[in-house]
Amino acid sequence: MSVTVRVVHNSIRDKLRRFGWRYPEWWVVMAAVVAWMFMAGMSHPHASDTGITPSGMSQAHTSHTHVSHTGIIPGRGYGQGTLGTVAMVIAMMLPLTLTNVRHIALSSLWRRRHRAIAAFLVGYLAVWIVVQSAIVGTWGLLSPLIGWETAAGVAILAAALWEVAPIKRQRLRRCHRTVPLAPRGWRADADCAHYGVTTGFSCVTMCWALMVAAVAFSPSFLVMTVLFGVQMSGRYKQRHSPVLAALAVLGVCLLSFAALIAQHSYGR
Amino acid sequence: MFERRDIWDLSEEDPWHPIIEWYARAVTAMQGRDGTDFSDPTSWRYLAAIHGISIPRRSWPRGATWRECQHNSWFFLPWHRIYLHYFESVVRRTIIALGGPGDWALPYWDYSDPQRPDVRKLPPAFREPRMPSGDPLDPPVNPLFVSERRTTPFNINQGDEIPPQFAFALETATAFGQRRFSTLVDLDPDPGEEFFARGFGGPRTGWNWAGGMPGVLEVVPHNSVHGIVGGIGGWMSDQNTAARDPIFWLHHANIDRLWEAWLALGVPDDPDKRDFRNPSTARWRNMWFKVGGGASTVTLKVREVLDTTQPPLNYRYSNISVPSVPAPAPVAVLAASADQGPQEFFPEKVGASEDRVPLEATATEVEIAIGAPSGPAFRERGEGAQPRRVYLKVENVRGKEPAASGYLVYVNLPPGAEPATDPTTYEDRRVGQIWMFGVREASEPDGEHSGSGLTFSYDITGVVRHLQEAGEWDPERLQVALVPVLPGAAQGGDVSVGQVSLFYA
Repeated sequence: MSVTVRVVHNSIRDKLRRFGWRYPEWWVVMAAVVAWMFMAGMSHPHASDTGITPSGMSQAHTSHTHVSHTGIIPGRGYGQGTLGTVAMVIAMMLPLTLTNVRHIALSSLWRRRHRAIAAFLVGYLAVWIVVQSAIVGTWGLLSPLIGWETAAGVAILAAALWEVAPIKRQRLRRCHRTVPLAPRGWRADADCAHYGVTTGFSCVTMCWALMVAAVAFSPSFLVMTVLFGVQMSGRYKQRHSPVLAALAVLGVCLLSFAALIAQHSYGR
Repeated sequence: MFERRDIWDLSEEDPWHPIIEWYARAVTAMQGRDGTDFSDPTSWRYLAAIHGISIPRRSWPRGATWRECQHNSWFFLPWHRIYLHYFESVVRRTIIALGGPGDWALPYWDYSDPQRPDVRKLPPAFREPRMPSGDPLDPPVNPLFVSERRTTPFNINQGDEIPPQFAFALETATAFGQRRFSTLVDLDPDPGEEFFARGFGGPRTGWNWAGGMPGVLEVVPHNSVHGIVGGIGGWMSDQNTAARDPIFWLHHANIDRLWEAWLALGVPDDPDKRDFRNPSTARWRNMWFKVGGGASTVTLKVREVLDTTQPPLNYRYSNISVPSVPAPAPVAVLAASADQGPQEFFPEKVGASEDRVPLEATATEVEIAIGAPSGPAFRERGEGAQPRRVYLKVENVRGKEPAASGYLVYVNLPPGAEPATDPTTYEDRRVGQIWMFGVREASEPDGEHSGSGLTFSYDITGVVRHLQEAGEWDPERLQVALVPVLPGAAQGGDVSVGQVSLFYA
């Protein structure tokens, strides 16, 4: 290796090292990126620009499962199945915790930083995976019973109304909460995990409706992306407009809803 | 151009100077608009509720922009400037409608001048229950007088002077010693900025952020004067009632004036003084706030209120000189104090208290076990390297009933020391102040501030160096004492500190 290459190599390595010190939450971001790539890969290659996912339809038809009495397919994408549930939670929810993760890292002894983040994530993800599994399970039971159109309509309405509900704003503030963490020993791990659980519950009360909508329309990448954008705006934007958020939710879901039905009718 | 004048200059001319008397008459008129639900946006209680109110949101008038005060945030100063502008406009219009002068402007209360002991008293017009005008046998009630103010250990309404030993609560030197408005590095986010760099105007936050770390000016003299005037349980001591006291507005006019005075220290072409400036980032400058209601609503961006002499503000202060402003430390000296190393800090926690620390009416002590720093940034500086900076953090101060108005934070007090008796002693070990203003609101889990409580951070590098030189620094153990200022009853209070922690950088 030439001296120049070695110098450049060392310089890049040093910069990366310092980046890691500066942003200890980097690997949480990476995990979310990987989960998004997984979800993108699971999307059907023929998914149209409108985000309609014929894959869900064909899967349902071929597998003869979850077909409602109208013939419209329930959400049958990466939102279902253990791996899909975990991927969806990691992709859509972990980015909402970055300030909490940063608080955890910078409030811990240096050698415990990443362990503290991991303990927090265990608590946080445990809550979300249980809740998300319940959402998926309920959806799987309810959707064939009342018909996908009805179930999806209720999900869209609930998601849009929840965006403008005052209680959502109140719950959002709880997500910003910081807590003291024991400096060392098992109490430090327990505090981090407990903080993860309480943050998880706050997040659930804030985002449950959007996650139901996400399950309803999975694996539509467009719907997923817009819903994620709404969540991120609510969490981080200085001036989040609940009305605009509700309109965005309504817009993308209704568009997908209409296109799905049209596509299904055309397919008949 | 309107001129905001010193209330004590006016009071020395005449305790009921026309500017003061018209203010009182306007307050009476505005209180007359309160009604039962305070829905008139020009009524006294509506205006006060913009800052804070305890009634639940479902009982608010439609469209009310209430409970919006920005604290523990870099929007603290601009939001209060817009709020004051709206208030002043309403008062001026009321005065004009009453036949008063069209150039009326809000006075300010400068309580910090040590050369003028009188200014440490509440101005005379604010402590008289009755106004001198009108029927001499039945003079009208003075709306500037509020009985919900401090009565002990000194009675602010009786004209008692804030005793000189509490001068630390009125000083401006610490705030003016801050070179930066918000962060260590104005444009480039610092890794620890949200933990350590309070700056003059407060840390970077979003809108109405979680109860967090106030800027230095916000702690003293802002929070401290709220606590000193309001006492335990008085209006000025609580965010939800503070603006009901007419002195609130004069206090905030002074805080706004101090912002102008701090900016005046800046010299753009002088590398030693160019830091005294407002944030240049669009995230701060383009933030907007809507204050008021109805036809008189004001919606302004931060960048629109940075020059007070331009529309829509059009005011200036009669005097923006401030006593005891420390000379700004030259850049070279600051660099030297950081071991000439790169200005890149990687703060790491080296110790913390294990349990909650109650804040009572008597001093509380807490011991922190200090571990060796283990971060790679520290290690690469070599064996036995000294920290460039040392920070003490008092986190998650929560509770509803404070046992004292404030607390002084000391480190490594000698055995038997009783700084509560005379706070001027042991100043070389005092690292900062905690004031309870806003703690109740910041502790409500479903309130506007997420329930995290208040957090205070102090750069204690100088104190640690001093203790090291005196041979009184133990690298493995730190004693922190929280000494009450102006305690209430001997018992009671439910405020506690979540954690006291030490950081090296």
